[in-house]
Amino acid sequence: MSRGGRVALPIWLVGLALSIGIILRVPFTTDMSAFLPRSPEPTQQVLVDQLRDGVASRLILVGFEGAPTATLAAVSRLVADALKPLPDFSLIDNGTGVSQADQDYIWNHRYLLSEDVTPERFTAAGLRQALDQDLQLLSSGMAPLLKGSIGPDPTGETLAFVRRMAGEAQRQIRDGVWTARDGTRAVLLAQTRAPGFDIDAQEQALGAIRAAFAAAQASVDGATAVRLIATGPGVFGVETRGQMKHDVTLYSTIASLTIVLLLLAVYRSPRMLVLTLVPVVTGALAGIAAVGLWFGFVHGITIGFGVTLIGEAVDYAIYLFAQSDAASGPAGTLRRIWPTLRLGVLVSICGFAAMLFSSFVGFVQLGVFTIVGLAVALAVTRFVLPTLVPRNFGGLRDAGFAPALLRLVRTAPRLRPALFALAAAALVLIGLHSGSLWQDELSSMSPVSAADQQIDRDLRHDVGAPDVRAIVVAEAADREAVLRLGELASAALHPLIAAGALSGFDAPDRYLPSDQTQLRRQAALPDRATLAANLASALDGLPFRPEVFQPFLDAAAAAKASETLTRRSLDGTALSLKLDSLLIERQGKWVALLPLRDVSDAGRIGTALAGLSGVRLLDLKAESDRLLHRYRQEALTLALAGSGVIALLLLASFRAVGPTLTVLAPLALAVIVTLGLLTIGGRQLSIFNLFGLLLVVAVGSNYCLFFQRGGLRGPEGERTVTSLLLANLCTVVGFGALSLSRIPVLTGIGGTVAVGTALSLIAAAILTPSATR
Amino acid sequence: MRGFGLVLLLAISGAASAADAPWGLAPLMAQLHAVKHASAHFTERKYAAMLTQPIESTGTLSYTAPGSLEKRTLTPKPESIALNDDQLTGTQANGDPFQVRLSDHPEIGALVEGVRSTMAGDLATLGRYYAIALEGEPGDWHLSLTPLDRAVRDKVDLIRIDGAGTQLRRIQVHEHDGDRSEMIVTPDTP
Repeated sequence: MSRGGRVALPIWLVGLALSIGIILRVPFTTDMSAFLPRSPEPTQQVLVDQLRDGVASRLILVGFEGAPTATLAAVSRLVADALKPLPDFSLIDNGTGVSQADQDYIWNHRYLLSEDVTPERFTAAGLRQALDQDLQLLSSGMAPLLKGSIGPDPTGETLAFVRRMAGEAQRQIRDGVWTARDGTRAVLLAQTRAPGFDIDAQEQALGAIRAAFAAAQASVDGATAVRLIATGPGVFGVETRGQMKHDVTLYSTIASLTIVLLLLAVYRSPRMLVLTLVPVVTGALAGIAAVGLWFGFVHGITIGFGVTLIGEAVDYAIYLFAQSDAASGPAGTLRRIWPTLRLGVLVSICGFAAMLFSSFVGFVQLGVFTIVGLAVALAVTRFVLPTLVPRNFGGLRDAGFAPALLRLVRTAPRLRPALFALAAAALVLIGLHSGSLWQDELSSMSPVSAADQQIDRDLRHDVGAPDVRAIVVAEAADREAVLRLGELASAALHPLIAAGALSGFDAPDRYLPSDQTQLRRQAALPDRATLAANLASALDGLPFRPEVFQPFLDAAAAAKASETLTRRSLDGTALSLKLDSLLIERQGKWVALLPLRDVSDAGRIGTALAGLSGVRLLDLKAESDRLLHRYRQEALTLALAGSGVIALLLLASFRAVGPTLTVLAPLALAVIVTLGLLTIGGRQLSIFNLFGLLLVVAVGSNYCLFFQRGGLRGPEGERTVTSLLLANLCTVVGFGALSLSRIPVLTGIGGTVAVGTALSLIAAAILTPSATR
Repeated sequence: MRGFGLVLLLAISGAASAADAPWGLAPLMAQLHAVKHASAHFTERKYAAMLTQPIESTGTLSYTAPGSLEKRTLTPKPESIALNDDQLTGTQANGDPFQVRLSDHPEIGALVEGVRSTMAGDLATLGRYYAIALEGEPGDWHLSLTPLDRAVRDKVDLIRIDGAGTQLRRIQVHEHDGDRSEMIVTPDTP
């Protein structure tokens, strides 16, 4: 054992132990929000917050299909009854009516809640008008249902409030529960306590729904035919995670097995196979530990992707073993290839360092992981691996095809015109698509299938949940201020409904008016004596018995003297959930959300709100697409910056332009041709393809460096090209397997890397004729 | 041969029911069902505990088979309410238009189907909402409809429709709290 080995081995073992120690203590998370951006503009923060843990993110929409409406309704009722007591849910609603708590809140506080409470309404003339309407109501066919409120509420404040609410949610009730318009589906709405990104909690909630459904199916006649469908952000999260787990496990198992078989076939020694994995495994453990130390937690996706990203470290051992010969042994080979290897790893690190500047915490974690992982893997290859190689290791048996391979490499430069033609064609393709090169729709990143998205839209339509696209956002320093601002926005929006610019909207002040407005409504109510006098003169000439309205005088007097309503007044009502989704405190600031329905003239709405400072109209679709555009732009900038740094690094290392270009030219051509291939058939590029290209540069640069080093002659040259081919085959197999997945992120990165690295190797062979001289 | 036997059987039973069957609910409904259009004037009196005297309103009724029924009030205040299949449209007391689906509000259905299903001779629908009793004879019959739904029965005890032949003459609604309304219907001569 060498002197270096005597020092390196204990350091390696201690480092491994430390890493494992840290990993055992660090919390792991699957909270998807780590991959949501960190610090966008304020309006976009609203969007991100809504995506993260807004009430919308906690909704699970459940549908029951496949049987007569009555059967579906029975199932819906049983499931709702089973779910209501569970702590997982803050709300279960299947349309079985407004809860008693809600009715009480609206009824008891009608004079503080109703928008119609004005001084004019309680004058003799105003009351006379209301009483005339009451008389008409009493003589109508609906009297049996509605006349009960005439005495206590002659001005009809409760009725008006309920009508406004009903106008918001146009729902269909059949057999006592919510159904789709045609009755072929019963609908149930569940709101989880846990936010949508808490996938474990969402999975548990979904499990509870399935269990309740199975129980209901067993106890309702004819319910075996009933199908359960569930959608919502949490459900999608659970499904995506499951699919991701499945795909990553399946395809990386396929890839690993193939790579292991490949290496075994070449090495013919299990021990060498294990040794090949030593750098990458050590690197991965060190990388996870570093992320844990830095961030205090490690995201599951960081590990999943990170290991893929530092898969390149397998190549280090391959270069070392496959290029060793009996004469110089691993130590001698290492001395020979060390400068190239070191430069290659530095180039990769520069490429991955771009991720450190990303706005996504998840990507920053990936950056830290890959940089630490690669550096450690390189160090292990350099200092530890030679000491572990058996003394009698005299290199691999020379591959039979190696001489032929080297001859092929030697003749490769003849293909230059073909390569240039290919690159030119790719450039033309890219140019043709330059207008629509990128997918800038957030939905393109979604792993949710179009069919599932359609089901989600249908269910949303059934329950009258606004298909939130346009939202008015008001921002202020405290709750009272933001409620007042929201009221001003409501006042500006109201006339636009009649004008046809939108069909309606919801607003937080409907459920909790600002103090100012409540006090104004209290002031609008006359004192008891005045009101009694006004009522008496209004009743003059009408056939109503005056004593019928005693409850009205009592209620008005009580409302005038009552405390104003606060958020606590709504405790225990379903309306409080509604309010909490529309009135949000964030970092000491308050935000009021007014979701709009059926906006047909956004320009007019924008104009109407222009005078209100702190109020904005937010087009969520456009805004989220803009957000993605921003991140894509950021990724592009970072990728270009990374490439620039790589060029500078090569320049500093070679101290000459020539060799630098020799390394960069094949990479550039490989990237161009890959881009061209990706756009074939009008397909658009995603942010994931961009990350894939970053990997192509990181991995491909190693090939180019070996070619640039030259000396690809004789047995040594044969071993070098064989090792490069082997390394590339492992990469293509590994990433190619990922590209079989249906998940956009896996397909995007997998396909790009598999194609791009293979092209890098071929381009390096073609463009570096000096290599074989 | 079996086909022929069936036709024969149908022919016999058809003839028998037309000629010999006693008058009753099914024949009355069949007669009403044959009426495709009807219009009338009405005078309605509402007796209610909160009123010192009954209030009276007048207007017109118009029915077109199978599902359209319109009540147009002329005095004391013009107002109109129309039922088209599942859709109830009209004007609220404050002047705003309204539109509800009966399937969304079964309790409203239980109030309006009494008259519409009777005019349409739709025994199935009538039977879904009410327990039905018929008295009298073809020239002077009395139909008593008791709501089946518990929640509706808490509001309405009985709807009573008096008629002669295929014409409705009087519609009374007896509410659970003692209030009641009485509508006298005068058919327009065609």
